[in-house]
Amino acid sequence: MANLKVSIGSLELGNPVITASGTFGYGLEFADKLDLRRIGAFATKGLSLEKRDGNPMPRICETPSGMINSIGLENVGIGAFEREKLPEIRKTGATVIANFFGETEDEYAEAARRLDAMDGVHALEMNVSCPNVEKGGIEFGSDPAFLEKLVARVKRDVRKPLIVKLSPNVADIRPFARAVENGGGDAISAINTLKGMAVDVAARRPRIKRVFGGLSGPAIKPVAVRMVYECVRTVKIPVIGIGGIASLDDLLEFLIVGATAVQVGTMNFVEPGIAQRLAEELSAWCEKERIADIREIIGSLKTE
Amino acid sequence: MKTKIISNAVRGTGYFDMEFEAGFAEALPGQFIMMRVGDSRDPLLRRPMSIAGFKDGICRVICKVVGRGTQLLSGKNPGDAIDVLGPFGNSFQPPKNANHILLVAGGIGVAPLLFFAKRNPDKRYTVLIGGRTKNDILAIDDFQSLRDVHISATTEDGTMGTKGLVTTLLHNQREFERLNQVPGFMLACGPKPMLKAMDEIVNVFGWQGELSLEERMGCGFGVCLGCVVDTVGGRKRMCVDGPVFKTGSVKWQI
Repeated sequence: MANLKVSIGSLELGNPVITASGTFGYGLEFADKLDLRRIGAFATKGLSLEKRDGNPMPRICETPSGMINSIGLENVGIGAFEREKLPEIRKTGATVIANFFGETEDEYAEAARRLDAMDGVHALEMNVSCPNVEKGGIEFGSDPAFLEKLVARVKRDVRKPLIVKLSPNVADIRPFARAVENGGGDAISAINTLKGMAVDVAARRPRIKRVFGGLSGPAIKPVAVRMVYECVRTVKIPVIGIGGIASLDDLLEFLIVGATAVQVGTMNFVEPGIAQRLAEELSAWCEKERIADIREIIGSLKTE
Repeated sequence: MKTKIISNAVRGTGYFDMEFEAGFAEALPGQFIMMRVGDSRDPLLRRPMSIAGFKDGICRVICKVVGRGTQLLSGKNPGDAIDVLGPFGNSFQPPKNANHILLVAGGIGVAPLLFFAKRNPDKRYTVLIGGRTKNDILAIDDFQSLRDVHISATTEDGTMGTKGLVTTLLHNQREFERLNQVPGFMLACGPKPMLKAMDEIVNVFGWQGELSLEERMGCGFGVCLGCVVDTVGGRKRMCVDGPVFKTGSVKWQI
């Protein structure tokens, strides 16, 4: 059996396949659809200090090989997560990455502190890149100086690995990757959704109530691979690749350009067991290719 | 789950009526399935479909062709493989002693109501079916096979039954008096404006009932949060907390 273990800061994952925030609920919704211990980890729905109801409907629509969403960070809140979800999650034996966000630096720091203290949360993923809310990160994710300060502030009070999820909706992602590293972040995850728009021609209305939303799914994969490659070449901390993964080859593309791990997102809606299937296919592929350790693949891109 | 189509027939204009090997043991009236269009990534998401019947491991759906995904599904043939998840959602739960039930359907809203009536064949039914034209009135023959049933149809263009909407029938004094004999339970499924109107009428008449809501869905099992609805009990996910809601509980935003 090939060694599929990878490390994100001090956290060791059994394999590099993670499920992405916003596509996997609180993990429990998938407990009967796959074995949560057979995937590297799962990232929770983005959590905030207070419960949020999110945006008005309609807030999803399908587009070619993808979808646009404007959920608006609806979540149960950190308190309810700890009381109602986490005790159940702990029983599953899953590795948990708690995704979180705030509207101010203080809120980010407080959310991170609380999640850091919770038994059963193994790493933190800070969202500074949601395109669907007025406040809730994007202003931090659009200025490298702000971002570096935020990362440093949050990192000061937490022991668990801090992953920072970056937005693709910037002219150049590299200064943001650098800001995460300089601020002391343990890893980068990229990319969040691409800001998009779709129109109902018959009604001449936007198909999303709030007009713009975040595009995800196979349609965004080439953009994601390019941006992950740019991040990998800019920083030394691990990069987690996200964007349109639907097959083993998609997953391998991200690893080959240098992603230490990947997150599967939109396809969880279509095939709820896909993350486990891809982890198993990766293992079988390594066996077939006589690869003893997944690290032989990571960053093996030949550009000559 | 991969399974197989048994039959797939065109109905009316732009509808299909499909039976497939369910691959699940049981389904309840009101529940729905999520059907994948094919193995390709475009169309990507599954389509939610209300269950119109379930018997001996065979599941039936009646669907409207609304876009490319449902267009492709309408062209599938018996024997073709199909990928189905479910059944998902809650179900109709009228009181046990409701012996006479009013069923109100708009378009493909007939599907879960037909399933309910077939599962509860000993009750008396008053059925109101509405559509834009006679080609949008579906499954009337299925309803006619019920033991004790009175069916009225309405079409917006008057090509079948009364010209107007299903609610037109309830505003008609004679119908109202007759329907007032109903012990007072209604099940309705159809477009939101129809459900909202029925919700208000039921309230005025002092009846109880349940509404089955339709919405675009990303996943069908509660994680994408794309199908929420505001209710008196707070924000709910239509796919796992619904699709069936009690009358008087939905906060309509139309």
